[in-house]
Amino acid sequence: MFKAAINAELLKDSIASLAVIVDEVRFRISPEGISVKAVDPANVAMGIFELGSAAFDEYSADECEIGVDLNKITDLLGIADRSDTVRMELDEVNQKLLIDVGGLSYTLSLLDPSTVRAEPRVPQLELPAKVVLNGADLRRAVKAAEKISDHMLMGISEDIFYMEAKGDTDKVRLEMGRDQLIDMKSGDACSLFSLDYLTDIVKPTNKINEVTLSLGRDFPILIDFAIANGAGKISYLLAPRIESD
Amino acid sequence: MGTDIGDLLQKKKIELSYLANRVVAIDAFNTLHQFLSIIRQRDGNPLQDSSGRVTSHLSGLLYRTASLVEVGIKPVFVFDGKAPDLKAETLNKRKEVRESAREKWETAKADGDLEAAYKYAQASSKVDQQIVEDARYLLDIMGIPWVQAPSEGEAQAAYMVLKKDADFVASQDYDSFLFGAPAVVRNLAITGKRKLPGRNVYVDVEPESIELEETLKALEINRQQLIDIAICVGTDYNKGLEKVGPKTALKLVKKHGDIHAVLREKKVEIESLDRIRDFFTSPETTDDYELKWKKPDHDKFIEFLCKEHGFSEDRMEKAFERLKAAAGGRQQTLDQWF
Repeated sequence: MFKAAINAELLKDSIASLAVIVDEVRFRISPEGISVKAVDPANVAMGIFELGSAAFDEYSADECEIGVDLNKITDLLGIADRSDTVRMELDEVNQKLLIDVGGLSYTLSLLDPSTVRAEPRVPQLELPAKVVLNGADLRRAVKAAEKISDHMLMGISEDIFYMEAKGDTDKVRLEMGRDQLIDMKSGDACSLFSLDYLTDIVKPTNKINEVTLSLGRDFPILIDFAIANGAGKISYLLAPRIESD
Repeated sequence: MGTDIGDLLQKKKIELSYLANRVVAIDAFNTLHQFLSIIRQRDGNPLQDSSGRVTSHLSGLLYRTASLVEVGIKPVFVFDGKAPDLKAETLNKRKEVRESAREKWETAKADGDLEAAYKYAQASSKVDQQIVEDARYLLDIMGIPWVQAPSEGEAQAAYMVLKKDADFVASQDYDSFLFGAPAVVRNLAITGKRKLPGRNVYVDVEPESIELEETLKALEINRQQLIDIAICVGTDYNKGLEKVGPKTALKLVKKHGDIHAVLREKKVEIESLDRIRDFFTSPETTDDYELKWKKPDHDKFIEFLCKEHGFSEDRMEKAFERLKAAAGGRQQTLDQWF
C-alpha cells in the first residue's frame, strides 16, 4: 500500500536529482518514506536519495518496491504548476501508479522492479577532507570550468579549497578560504572529475544553501545536501578521473 | 615463428578491460607483422597510399592502439634490435618462404585465384626498415612510448615485466616465457572476428593471458626445463629433435631432468646448445628507456596520416579525438572502491 500527496515542485526537483544518474529506478517505499539508490550505467556516479514522510502533505505506506521510468514522471510533472499538489496512489495488483495533479488523472504503468538494475552496494570510503559551501558557488565554478575543459580538479591546499579547470591553453580557478566557506575540515585532497557528470549533479544545488563535499586524493567525491526543508537528503558519489601526463 | 609450446601452457580467456590501467609491453615486430598480413584487400594487396607505399601497418597500429588506450591500457611497443647470430638460419628460411610466397602470389593473382592470392600475399609480408620507421614515428605523434631492444624484442619486453615496469608482455609467440616473462597476453592485436588461414571460416578471437608461474606449477617443471623443452621442440635458434613435439619433449625433459640428459639418451647433439640456453636465461636487455604516455600531436598526426599517406581527414580527426580523450586521463568507476 502506498498513498501520498506532495508539492509538485518538490517532487519535480527530487525526480530531477535522480534523473541525472539514471532513467529507470526502483523506489523503495516504507512507512518512513521513500528511498532510492541508483548508479549510472557506466558505474561512475551513484545517487542515494531519501525522502522522509515529513516531506509529504499526506503519507501512508507499507513496505513495497516499485519500478519507475523517471522520464515519464518528469514529462507529466512538466505540465503541473509549481504550487500544485500531486496525489499518488499505488494500484499494486495492476502495477499502476495513479497520479492526480492539477485536475488531471494519470494512470502510469510501472516497471517490473526485477527488470530495473538492482540497488548498488555503496562503497565505504574514508574521505579525509570536507568542505561545506553554498550550492550557488559550486554551480558557478562548475559552469566556469565547462567553458574551458571537460574535467575539473577539486582539492585543498594550505586551508584553501580550490576548484580548477585547465584547457589546452586556458585555465580557470576558484579559491575559497575558511571565511568564504561555511565549514572546512582540511586534509589531503586533490581529485579530478569529469564535468559530464559534475554539471548534471550540481544543477539542483543552485537553490541549496549548504552543500557538503567530502574529498580525498584521487578518490571519489561525496556530494551531500538536504532537500525538502531537511525532510530529505541526496548524496552523490562520483568516481574520479586519473590523469596521465 | 618462435617456439611451438602453446599446447603446454595454461591459457585463460580475458576481457580487454581486465588490462585497464596495466602497462603492456607489446612485441612491436610481431604486431606489425600481424597487421601487414591481416590488413589486406581481397586480392592480397596491402593497403597503399597514392604513391604505392604500404599503409596497412599504420592503419592497424593506429586503430588497434586507440582501442587499447580507450579501455585504459597503457601500451609500450618494444622493437627488435640486432638479431643474435644464432638466428641467422631462421631468418634465411623466413626470407626464402617470403620470396617463394611472393612468386606464388603473383601467379595466383594472374590466374585469378583470389583465395590463394590472399594466402600467399599474407605469407609474403615483411616488416622492413621503412615500416619500422613509420611505426615509430606514428607512435611518437600518438604519444605512445616505444623501446629499442638491444637484441630480441621479446627478451626486452620480458625484462620490463620482470622489473615491474610493465605488467604483461603482449605477443603471439611464446618465446617471452623462455626469456622469463611472468605474464603474457595473446591476441591483443587481433581481437575480434578473424578468418582462419586458408579456410573460409571466421572465428571470434579473444585475448588470453598466460602466467608463467601457473604453467610451471601445472607442468611440474622449472623455467630452465621449459627452455629445454622448447629447445627440444625447436626455437628460432635451433631445429628441434626429430619427431619430438611439445608433449613428448615435456615427458623427456621431466624423465631425464634436463636437455643434456635427453640428448645423451637419444645420442644426438644440438649445435650451440649452451649458447642457446644462455641466450634464453640471460639475454641482452637495456635499462635505457622511459615510459611516458603523452598527449597526441594533432598537427603532426594529420600531416603524417592524411597529407603524406592519404588517410581520410574525417576519419583521422575522429581517431585523433579518441586518442586525445583517452590520453586526457582515465575515468575510474565506483566498483574500484569496494
